[in-house]
Amino acid sequence: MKQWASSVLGLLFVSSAVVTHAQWLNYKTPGVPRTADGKSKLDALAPRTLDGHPDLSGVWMHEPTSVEEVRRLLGPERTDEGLKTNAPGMEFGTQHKYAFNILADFKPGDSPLRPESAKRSQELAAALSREAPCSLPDVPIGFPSQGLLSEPIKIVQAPRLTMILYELGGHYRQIYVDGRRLPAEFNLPAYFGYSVGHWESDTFIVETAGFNGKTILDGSLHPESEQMRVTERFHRRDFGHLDLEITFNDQKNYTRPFTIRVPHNLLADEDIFEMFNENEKDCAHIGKAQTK
Amino acid sequence: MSSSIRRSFVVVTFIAGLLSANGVLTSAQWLNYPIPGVPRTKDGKVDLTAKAPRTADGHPNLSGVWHVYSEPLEEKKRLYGAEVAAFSVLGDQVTDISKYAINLLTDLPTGEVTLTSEGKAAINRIRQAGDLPRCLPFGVPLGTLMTQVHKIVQTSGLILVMHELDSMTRQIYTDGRPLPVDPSPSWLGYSVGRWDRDTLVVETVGFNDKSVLDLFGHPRSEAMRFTERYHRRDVGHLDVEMTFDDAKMYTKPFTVNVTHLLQADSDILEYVCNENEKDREHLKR
Repeated sequence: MKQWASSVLGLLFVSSAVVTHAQWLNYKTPGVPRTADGKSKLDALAPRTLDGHPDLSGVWMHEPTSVEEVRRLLGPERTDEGLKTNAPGMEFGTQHKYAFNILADFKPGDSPLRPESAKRSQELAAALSREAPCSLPDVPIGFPSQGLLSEPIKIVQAPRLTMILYELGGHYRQIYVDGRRLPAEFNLPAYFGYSVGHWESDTFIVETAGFNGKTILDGSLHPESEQMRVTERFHRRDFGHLDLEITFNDQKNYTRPFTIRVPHNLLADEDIFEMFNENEKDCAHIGKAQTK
Repeated sequence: MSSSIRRSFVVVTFIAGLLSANGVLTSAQWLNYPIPGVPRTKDGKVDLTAKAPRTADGHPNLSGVWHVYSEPLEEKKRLYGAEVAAFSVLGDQVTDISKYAINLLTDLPTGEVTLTSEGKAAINRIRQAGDLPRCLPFGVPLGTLMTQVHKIVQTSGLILVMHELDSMTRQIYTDGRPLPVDPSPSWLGYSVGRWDRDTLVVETVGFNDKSVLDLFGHPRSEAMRFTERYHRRDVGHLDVEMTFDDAKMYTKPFTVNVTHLLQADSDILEYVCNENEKDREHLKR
């Protein structure tokens, strides 16, 4: 169990390189409503684009789950193991609970995970405990974990296209809002799938399919398949708050669809950083930890 | 640098390392999807000579998927020798890259711009390193001069330049902010843009000195200042003038002009450098 914990948490935390650079932090972004003391007024009305829809643009961070809550969810052994490698910038308490376990809200015995999928997860965990995470190729952590760890995301809403930029790994998603539909079949599945969006009143609904099935949904190794379809509902409650509801439908791995809700807070006057595959220092230490 | 050296294509191994250090383009969809709002001829093809589109604020809209004009192979053979044809890794064919990807200074008369002593030391160091990138980014402007396309997404206040190569996204702020005075060096630098009539002028500073300007290995320093002038001539053509000012590495600034061609009804593809890499083992032999 100890090895499993260190493998999985190591995979989540180490497959990211170092956030290298920052600039323009605390730059007063034009157009942000402010209080008398110059702080951004986070409870102001959500802004709108020229076409009248809410403007989701901004740098957003999920509401992280406290160390105490992580301890309750993961248990003291896994939490303490993770705390030993509390890497700067990726400290425990800066992630969302669903990055650790996307099925965290389900009671024992009520999990939608199919038994055969649970078995595959266990086999993958065993393989990871034999093989250092650093021997695996540095590929995207994937959806949705890419946006649930310690790094923020940036939404850029352009006409007909909304971009989600992940600070983690420098990856991005393109969400087309130009009326195109998802293809019935995907001849080239992708890590982040293919996304189309539309507006229902003030809620931006994004449908994504075409995942490649090569990544996992969380640090507990819950799988995804190429059949998975994801529906996201973005609602900018006010200037400083974005509510995100994500529904996963993957009948190959789960007996029924399930939904998570992840509130995000605006990081006003901030930006995402450049992040590339450089200056990795952790693998050697993790290898040592695993052989103990 | 002498012309003979420039033409003899001595950086064979270095270029091979650069070309092969990339992973594969993994995925594609919606290629050939007819994009709404694009002027078309009667047969449904995009009218590439139609007037450049404009955004709601009246500026030219640079948005689109672009690929650099690639000179015929014969021209590259003339410039770099017949050996250049040998470099055709699948997906990284030399036929599909700009001549400036190989050597940014190729058009300049011999001796007009030369490397400083520090620049000479840097290029020697880079060439000795060989397979330099190891999935680190190609940087600016090389990311837009290779086989892969790039996509510009223009919004009010911010323009994204998304490189398919290495999945890099540059942010160009057009919200009036000044360039940082003492930036922390980075791979893509820090960019601000302003409109000079119908030309977008982009100033970038804050590069690190870890990347190269071209496959020849021309270096850059942290002091480099990079100015781009984007002019969308019509729907199908984007002219970009690039001026490199790096007194630490070069005896004077130099300018290169490229044209990017609209890849209508196309898209950038997901790119994961570390996936399915097969070349390094062969390079070691």
